[in-house]
Amino acid sequence: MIEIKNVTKTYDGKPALINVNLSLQTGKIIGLLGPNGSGKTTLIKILNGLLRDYKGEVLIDGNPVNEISKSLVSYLPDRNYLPNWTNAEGAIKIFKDLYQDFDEEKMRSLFAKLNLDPKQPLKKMSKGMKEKFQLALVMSRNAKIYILDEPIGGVDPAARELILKTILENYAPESLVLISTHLIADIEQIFDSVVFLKEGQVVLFEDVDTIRQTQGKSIEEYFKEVFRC
Amino acid sequence: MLIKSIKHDLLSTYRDFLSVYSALLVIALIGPFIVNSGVEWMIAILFLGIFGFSVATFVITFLTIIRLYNRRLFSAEGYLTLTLPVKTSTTIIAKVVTGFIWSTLTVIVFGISMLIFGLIYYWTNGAFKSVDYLALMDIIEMITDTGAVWTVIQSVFVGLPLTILDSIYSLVLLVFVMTLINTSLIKKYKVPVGIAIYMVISGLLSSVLAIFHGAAIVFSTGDPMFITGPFDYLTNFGYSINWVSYMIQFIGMVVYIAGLGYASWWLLEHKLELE
Repeated sequence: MIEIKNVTKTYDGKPALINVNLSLQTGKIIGLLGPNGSGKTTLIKILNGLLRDYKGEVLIDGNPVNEISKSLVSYLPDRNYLPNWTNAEGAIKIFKDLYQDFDEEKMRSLFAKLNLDPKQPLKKMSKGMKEKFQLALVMSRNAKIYILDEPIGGVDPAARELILKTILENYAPESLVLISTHLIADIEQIFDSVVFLKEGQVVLFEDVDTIRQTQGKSIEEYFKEVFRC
Repeated sequence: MLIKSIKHDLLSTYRDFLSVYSALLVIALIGPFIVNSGVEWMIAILFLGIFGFSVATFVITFLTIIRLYNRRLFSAEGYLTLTLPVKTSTTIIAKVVTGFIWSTLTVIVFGISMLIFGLIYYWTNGAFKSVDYLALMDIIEMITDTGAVWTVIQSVFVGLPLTILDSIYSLVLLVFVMTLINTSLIKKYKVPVGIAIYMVISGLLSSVLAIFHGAAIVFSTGDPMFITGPFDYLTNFGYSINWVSYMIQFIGMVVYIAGLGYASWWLLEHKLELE
């Protein structure tokens, strides 16, 4: 579903990604793991067309990054991307108009489950509420691919559980879910596979069960071992 | 998709312009009463305010369009705008059309506000009561008979395509410069670099086009020998079109718009680097 071939990205000559090759298939939840500055967000931005000046090739369901690939990907960035004046109704209008796979009913039900008020403007929401708001929008699409950048990065542990539950209950099993995070302990139980990114390079791409069997460790423990300074 | 994109661009920006238009209308409604009050310092402040605000309206419109592009494409909102399943060319066209709609609307609202100001002023002074409508009708008829009104209307319509193209060109140039400073090509001092690039390109392109043409529409009041009264000016008032200049300007603007539009598309497709 996602083919990344020889992708290299530099900022001012400093490499952010070095010759990354990955082939990510559907029906899996994949963790994109690495410490801050390892290139996770850079890779995600490339997949979503927000960074264009790179070497290599990216194909999403056989398409280069363009309007077709964007129609397949439901993307949750690591920041609030909705205008502050908007509320759920405004966001629904945007998503309904521009995404064919947007499910309004699912959105309204998610709002109820996440205790969000559809009429409350974004500017009156707390940071955690904003994150839940965007997650509800993103998970309300019946997309082939979900790319979630640090979905639990800015919320308290109680909200993390709710967010993970929301992701698990709302993605289509035949889709691909790529989640970037550095909070591995909270999330590792939902991964099928993990990619370890270290200084812009893929140092591991493996099923979590295989890692647990061969290493005899949890993903977080193994992560700490790999990334120990 | 283009219509939907324009709709959402308009919806996300109307708040910015609503405040400018509200201020214009408030001045138009309150201003005449301040003038009628006869308090000199208030009148002085009012006219200074009107002058300042008239200039500011167009500056604010320009700055708000810049903010619109920057916010919708290159700030956090860009994470939504640029990941929508919309062609890059559609995104650019939607932004230009939105800017064009707002700048045109600003001119219209400004004109209406000034008209309201004048009408209220004359109405509150009882000017309409003392008007000799029959005499006024006679004057209007005499002016109409000169054909000058029709000449002005015709010349406005002849010049309209060039005015529209000029406005679109300014907006496309703005999109191009804003796109350029948000690519991997410009790393530092994006705002001053953007202003400098805008001024250089604008000056350069205008100069290049100016070399090849003169005035497209030339107005004339005829031979001064035959003008003895005020209506003679109007009777002899006419215009001629220099079609060579007109077509050079027209084609030049179209080429500039296409070129800058393509350059913006290329930058977004190949050099975009959203922070």
